[in-house]
Amino acid sequence: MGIVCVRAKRTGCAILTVLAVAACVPSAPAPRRVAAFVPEVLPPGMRAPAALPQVTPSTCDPRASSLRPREALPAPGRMPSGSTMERILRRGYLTAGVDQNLNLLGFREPKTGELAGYDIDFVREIARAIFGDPAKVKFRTVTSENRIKVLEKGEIDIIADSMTINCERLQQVLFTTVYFEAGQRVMIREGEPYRSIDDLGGKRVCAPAGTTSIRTIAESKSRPIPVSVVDWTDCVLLLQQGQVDAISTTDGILVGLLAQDPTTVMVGPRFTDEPHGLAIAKTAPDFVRFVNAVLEQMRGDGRWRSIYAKWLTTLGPVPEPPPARYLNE
Amino acid sequence: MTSSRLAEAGAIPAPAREAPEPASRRDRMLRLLRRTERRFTVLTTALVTLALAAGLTGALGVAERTALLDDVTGHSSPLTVAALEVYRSLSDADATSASAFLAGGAESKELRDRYRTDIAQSTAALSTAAAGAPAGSGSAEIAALSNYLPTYTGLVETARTYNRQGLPIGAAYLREASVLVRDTMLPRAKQLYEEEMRRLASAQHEAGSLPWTALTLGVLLVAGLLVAQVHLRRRTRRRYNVGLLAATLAALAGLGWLGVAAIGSARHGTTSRTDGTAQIEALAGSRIAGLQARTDEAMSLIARGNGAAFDQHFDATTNALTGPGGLLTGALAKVDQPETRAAVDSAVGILRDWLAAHQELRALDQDGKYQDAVRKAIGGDPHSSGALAQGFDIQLGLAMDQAGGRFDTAAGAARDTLAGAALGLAILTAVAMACTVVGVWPRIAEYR
Repeated sequence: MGIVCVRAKRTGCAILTVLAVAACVPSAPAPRRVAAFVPEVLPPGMRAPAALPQVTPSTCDPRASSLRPREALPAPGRMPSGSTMERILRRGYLTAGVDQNLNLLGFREPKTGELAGYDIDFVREIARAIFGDPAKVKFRTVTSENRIKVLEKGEIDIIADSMTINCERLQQVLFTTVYFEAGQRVMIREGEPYRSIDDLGGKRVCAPAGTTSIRTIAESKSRPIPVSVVDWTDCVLLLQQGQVDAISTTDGILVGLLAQDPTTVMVGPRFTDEPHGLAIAKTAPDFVRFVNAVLEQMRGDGRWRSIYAKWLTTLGPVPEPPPARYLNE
Repeated sequence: MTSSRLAEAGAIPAPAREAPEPASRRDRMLRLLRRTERRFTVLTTALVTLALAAGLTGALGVAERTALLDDVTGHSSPLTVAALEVYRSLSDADATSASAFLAGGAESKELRDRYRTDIAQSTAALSTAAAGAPAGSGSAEIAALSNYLPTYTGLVETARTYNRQGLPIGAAYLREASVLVRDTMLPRAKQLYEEEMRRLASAQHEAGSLPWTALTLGVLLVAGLLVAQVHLRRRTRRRYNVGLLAATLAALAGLGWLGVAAIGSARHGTTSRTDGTAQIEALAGSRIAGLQARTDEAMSLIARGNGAAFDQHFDATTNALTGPGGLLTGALAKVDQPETRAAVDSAVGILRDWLAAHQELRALDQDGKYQDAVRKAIGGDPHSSGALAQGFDIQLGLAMDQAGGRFDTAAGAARDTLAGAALGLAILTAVAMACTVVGVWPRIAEYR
């Protein structure tokens, strides 16, 4: 019994000791040091350097690629029978593919939510010529990727989306005569030393992916680093956050971006010439001739000037309307 | 020694005052008696040691399980809840800021408050997670999330300021904020949550295992006590040994208590998993997918024609929710309780309406009826996609709360079943040990 007792005590003591030790293990570890890091946040879809779209070089004269009006403009509401315009008239509205994200060209007026801008006003004038009513338009939002497809499927009658007339696009669609002369320029933060694209060698310069602007940046002699994004406004954000040093695209778009940040400026001369046209499906040459007649009228009666003055005076005084030039048929 | 040799040695305890015998025989007798005395001592020691071992492993096993269950309810579960809260509140902040932005400069007080609550909740949950996470685990995620959160809110406020001025660049800031949440923060929050979920599941699993060693030792103890009684009965001509009988009863009681408590606790533990955490896990996936789809819907409208990526993400997310192999079907398969099934079924129905509303909204946007599309997305009527998305979230939140309630009940029951078992086992062990000694001691003393 004595042995048993001693053993039991010993075992008990040993277990108690183990438990006591386990309970007494210090429970306050040294504080963990967390290293500070500055989060780098990027807009979705940003690529630097940008992947460049492939283009097949071809020669043509973008300014003289449109179809000449054949007869005088018909009175509103009386379109020639069998014509595209008559089909539109019977439908009751014109359908136009526009951008709603290009400040001053095609955008939603913040207060009313209505579409407005330079491109929109031209579409309204075409509707006025067909119906006598500028409101008879059904707008459809398009992107630079899908707009030609939507037009070819016949879902819209016309694209008014700040579209540059070029030889590649002329393979797919018909363009009206030039309704806006733009050229690529550079936008920077106020107070920075850059004066043109030539000063931006090795610097990061922003434009959306798939545009001609991003290619022009990449092919500049000074060799800037092209940074591509999804949307124009992403470029402004990157410029504000110091993630790019400049934005470069046509001045028509740049004025819309400049209007959103008073601490930015546009510098340097135009270093490209980008005539803009309205695009129409290859199946509707009669409609191209009709719209060209409308544009001629607008050049003459001051409507072209007043639309320009309404939206684009930040680009300088209202210029002469771009002259109409046609294909030799 | 075998029983035949025991019989040979004589079953009668030999009092010292017995008739004198020849010296050699007397010596042999004495040796035998010594041997019997030693044997009783050894038997007692063995039984007492076995009782102590069985009692200790039993009590320690119960204490360990109690500690594990305490850890589950007091530590692992709150941490899992905190990690899930980070994940959910960030997703909700993302969806809410997008909806508010869509409403234009004059966002509603309700959405503004909801966003602020989301941010406050994710901050609080991050602090909880940081305070409770064991060293090394999840600390990288928590540090990164704490770091990104102020950056995120900064971007959202910038977006809001520009939006009030009607400048499209606000949308660029919101896109950047949303993508920061989705591509950088949510994956980390998800990782944190999954880590905690794993830890909780393994703690639940451990707490639910049966204490086999203690149970085996208990069975051995009862068997040993019975053998000892048979043995004593043969050696001493006494029918019963009251001490050993009492010890056997105590051992049986202890064994029974341990078995019932452990099995009961394990059963409740399993219930806390199947009816609680497993359902929460399945429902959380659906709820967060719903919030992401809502964000996509709003962001696509905010992108104003440039939101193809968001539309694709919406389709991918809602496809993952619906269908026979979808998240919601998976969640329903884990839910047996009628009230929770009803909530999930209702969420399924609401999702159907939401998808229909979404199609209408997209058609309106495509037709250039942007304002109508926006009204369809955020309008006050109960058929707007915003209201439906919120209904979906509410139903799944309800289902998760119910599962959480079941978890609390079952985990509490698992803990209650073990209550007092450790002390009870200790007392019964002491009783068994004492009774063994008390029962055998007089028999040993007879040989002295």
